Amino acid sequence: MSGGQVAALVRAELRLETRTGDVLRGVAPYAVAALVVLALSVDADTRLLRQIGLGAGGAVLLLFGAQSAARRGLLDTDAVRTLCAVSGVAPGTVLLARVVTTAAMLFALTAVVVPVTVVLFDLTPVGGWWLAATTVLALVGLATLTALAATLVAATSVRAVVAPLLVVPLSVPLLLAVIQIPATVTYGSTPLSWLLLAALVDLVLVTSAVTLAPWLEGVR
Amino acid sequence: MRARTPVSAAEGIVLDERLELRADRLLAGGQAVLREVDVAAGCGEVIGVAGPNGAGKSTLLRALAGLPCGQEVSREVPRPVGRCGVALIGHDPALHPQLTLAENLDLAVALAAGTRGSVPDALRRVGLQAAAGRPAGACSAGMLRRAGLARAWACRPGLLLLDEPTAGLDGASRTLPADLARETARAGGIVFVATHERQAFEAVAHRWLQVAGGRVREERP
Amino acid sequence: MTRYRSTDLVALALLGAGFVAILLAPTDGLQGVLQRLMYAHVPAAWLAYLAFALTLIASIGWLRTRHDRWDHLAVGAVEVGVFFTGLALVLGSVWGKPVWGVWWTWDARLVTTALLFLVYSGYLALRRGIDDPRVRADRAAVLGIVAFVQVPIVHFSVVWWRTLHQPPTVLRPGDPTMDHTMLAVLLLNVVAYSAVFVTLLRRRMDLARGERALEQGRLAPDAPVAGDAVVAPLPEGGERG
Repeated sequence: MSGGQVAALVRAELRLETRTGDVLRGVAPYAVAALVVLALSVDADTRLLRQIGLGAGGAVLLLFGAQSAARRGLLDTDAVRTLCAVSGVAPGTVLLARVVTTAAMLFALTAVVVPVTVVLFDLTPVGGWWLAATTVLALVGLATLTALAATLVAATSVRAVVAPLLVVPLSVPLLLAVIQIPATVTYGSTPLSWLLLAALVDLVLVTSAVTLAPWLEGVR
Repeated sequence: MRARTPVSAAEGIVLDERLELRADRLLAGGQAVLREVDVAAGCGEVIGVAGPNGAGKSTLLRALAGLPCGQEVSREVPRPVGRCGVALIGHDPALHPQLTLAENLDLAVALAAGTRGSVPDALRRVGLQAAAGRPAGACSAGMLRRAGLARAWACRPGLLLLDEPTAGLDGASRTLPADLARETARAGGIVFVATHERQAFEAVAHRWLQVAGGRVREERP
Repeated sequence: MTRYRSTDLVALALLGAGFVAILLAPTDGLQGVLQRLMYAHVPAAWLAYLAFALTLIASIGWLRTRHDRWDHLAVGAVEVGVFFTGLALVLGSVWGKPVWGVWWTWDARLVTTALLFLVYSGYLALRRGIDDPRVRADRAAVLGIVAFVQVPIVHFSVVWWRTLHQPPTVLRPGDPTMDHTMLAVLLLNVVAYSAVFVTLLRRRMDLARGERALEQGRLAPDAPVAGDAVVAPLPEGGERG
């Protein structure tokens, strides 16, 4: 695995994203629209809004974040895949590049979703650093899972349909870990176990990705 | 990938540095395209590949490039060639339409193995220096063809596989593929050129392979 | 032509016997007739988990050895597994409504089973989207491993989640104290459903083997090569002799 190759792939992929805006200009507005619809659907009950706010934000982030696995990025074009294969780029390198770019896009999406959720659902941050740390871990795990799913569906006819179907069910522990932090803090206990859960999921996913990478991307 | 390097003890010259590809069959799209393939090439050789449409020239080049073409394909690459990397310049120019020519070439160079040339020099060589900042999607077919050749100049591969490199090129740039093949072979590389325009490569090709009827045959002069 | 094996008939006979036993079993005092759904629900759920565990083993087997039979086992196990998962979910839901008062509850077993249903449906969709047999088997195997490795984490995360909030149900599924006759009927049905499972799995593996042979048939030494389909074009107004 080569750091230079990962950097080159990430740079090209992010440059492409700034040009096409698949995630930030395509997915993010829909995520905001979904939050607005969710907030509208529970009426003007502020107490209820506060109660479901974090869960709604997390769910929207998860569902729309999974969409970024279905986008047609640099590494989903036949030309670039062939280039990587012929140049002898290791599948692990390609997968790592996918994880890094997906994480960057998910963090950007989070930066849009969080303020909108706070405003619409009148949230007050409970759990502070615990919540922030667990969210970061959850995003890393989600990026790994999304990158794995994107690799599995790369260059297939079912990409758009199947990728979110693979990501969303397996990311349930990450969603639970994040949304349980404020509740646990409110009940007066330490949310360490939820933080550790997110870390455990990350560990399992990263280990699986590293172990199974040689069999991905078709070329060895 | 294994490399065999028996060296003559007396002179220290590498004698048996040959690229070898053997397969009972090569597949494309789940169908057999070529049978009983046994192709070998030495360093510094330029080999022309001729044959009718659909005969399997591109499949042969893909197999030589190490892309998956069915099971039990044995491919051996001489070590110096493997170190310098492989470039396949195919029908598809392998350029992303939303990246500029320079960005595309930068990516290819970053992914390539071995010593590499400069991207601006390569673009200048094919006469595209002024179009370096143009997205590949906004370039004509001939420009993309030239940019593909520039990719090979920039990556300096040990094994260069050109698939119909003259298609779409204008009169002034018609000699570019042959020049590229000659320079690559002089540097010790191996070149395969699949083409319908033999006359463009008669001067550089050391020998020709004929692909037809599912077989690859050596052409006897 | 369909060939019937003696094991097919055994499975059918066991299923019939199991059904008769369900009708003859004593009616549950508390839950009434609907409790009889348990005799199908429990075996279906157990076989669903068995199927996905088999998929995990087969996926590892494929990646290590690249023998086609592992891939056939994996696809067979997932297809049969998804069927039994769906059956377990539907029967459980129908049983749950009158007993718990809700169609659905956030019990860890329910959540995990539902998520397995979704992921392995995705597995089947993924296989359908890839033409190259080798790439298809590789990617499916990776998914078969990742999906099952995640199962315990999904399960325990939901358990922890539910222990934080008291579940709203009065009755928990799977009462450990059970009448002896009921237990015998349940065991008979577990055996019967397992026999059906094995039969279906073998059928599906036969089918996968057939599909593979069909793919291989196109590669026979005397089969035409792709280039044979291309001949010289006709001259204008001309007719080839």
